[in-house]
Amino acid sequence: MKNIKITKIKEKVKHLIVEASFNLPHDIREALEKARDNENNKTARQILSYILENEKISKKEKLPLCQDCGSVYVNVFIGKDICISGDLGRGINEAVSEVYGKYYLRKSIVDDPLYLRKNTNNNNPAIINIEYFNGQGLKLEVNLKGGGSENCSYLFMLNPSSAPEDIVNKVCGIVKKEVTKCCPPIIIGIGLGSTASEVTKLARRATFRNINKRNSNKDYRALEEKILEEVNLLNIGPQGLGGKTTALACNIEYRPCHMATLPMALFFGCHSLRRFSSKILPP
Amino acid sequence: MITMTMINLPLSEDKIKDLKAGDMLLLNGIVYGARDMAHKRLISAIKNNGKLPIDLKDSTIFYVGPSPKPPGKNSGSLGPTTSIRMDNLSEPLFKKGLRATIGKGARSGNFRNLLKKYKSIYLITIGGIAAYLSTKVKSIKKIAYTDLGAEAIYKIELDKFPVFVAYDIYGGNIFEENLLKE
Repeated sequence: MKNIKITKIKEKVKHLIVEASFNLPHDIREALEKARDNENNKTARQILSYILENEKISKKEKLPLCQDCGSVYVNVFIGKDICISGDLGRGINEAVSEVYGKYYLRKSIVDDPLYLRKNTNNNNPAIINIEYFNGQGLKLEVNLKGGGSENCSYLFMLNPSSAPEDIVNKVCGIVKKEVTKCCPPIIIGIGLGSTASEVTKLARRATFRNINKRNSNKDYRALEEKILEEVNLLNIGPQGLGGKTTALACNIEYRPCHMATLPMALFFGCHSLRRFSSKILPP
Repeated sequence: MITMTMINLPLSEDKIKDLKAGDMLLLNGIVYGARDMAHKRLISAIKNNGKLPIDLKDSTIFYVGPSPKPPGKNSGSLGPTTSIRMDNLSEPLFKKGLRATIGKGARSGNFRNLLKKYKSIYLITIGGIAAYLSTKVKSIKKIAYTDLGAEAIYKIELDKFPVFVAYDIYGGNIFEENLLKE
């Protein structure tokens, strides 16, 4: 077994939260620049320019990209023969607490959803997912997700006889109704299959997938392209003020499911999609 | 470039007569930052005939929960939160004279009717450009319900802060009618 110390993971998580709070991922910045150059709508172009200008100020002034500094998702992928020494949950939560204090990030988590709703004042707890992979070392991903886009999340148990067009229509319907709440241009993340509890994780994974990475299955790839095309024909545009840039990408993640079901989850990522990842090689 | 009109706050019933959905404005002056929990407390104070921590007459409320202000900066990052969550919390504030709200996104039909009834406008600003918008703020201070953290009421002085008129008092709607002028 190879040992990775929790202190090392903690430092890495802190670094990733800082990166994500003040910098757009490369693929998102590139897509925004391309969209700005391709927009015919003046307002849309201006808003896309503001978004790009915002990143420059954020980076330079160390002011977070968005005042909603999000819930912190930390995905830990554990490779072969790796042993983590220390308390992983505690280490990650300490990392969140330290960074949110030190960098003046907004703490947005309340302790009790219904009654007291008292702020935990350290943005804890983080949402930690642990998975295993057949490789060396440890992979860490940090996703920061704001409340506006989180409120546009859906779970559907579709009829197993549903057709791809039904999915397209469902997504377009919700985009039309809801999208101005969650800061378009958005990234559409769709989970299909598995179970009700797992499909939402697929949708989140899809939302945070690199937007230049298309589905390896050609049918699903075609569906991703179709949805993106249809959504961008709705003339909703950045912030809902018109234009052809309503979504930057549509990503689908799918898994096998029970023959009586077709679970579908739909997540939206706002244009300020905050994600960074890193690796820790085994000692 | 899009035409932008400079507007000095506070607004009044008279001033908002000229503002039409689709107009882009640059706001100067005082707004109050308040969101879900602050609205609940204001309404509860109104119900109990309690004293309100802010004067709502001709006021502008910005739905915002800013990030903390770092030393040496005028403001932390700040931008609009989703307005529709405040739709059912707005009428008691309109009755006290609330003249304008700033947020993001479309709102309910019921809310749009209230705007006509109480002569109030709805403005939107751009979500997710909070570092940029912080450069359009002269000063920011928590002034009430400070135990709510980022959900407290803030007094914010704006300096050429960009907004669009989303719903005017005549029923004009930036989202549905594509009223933006090119």
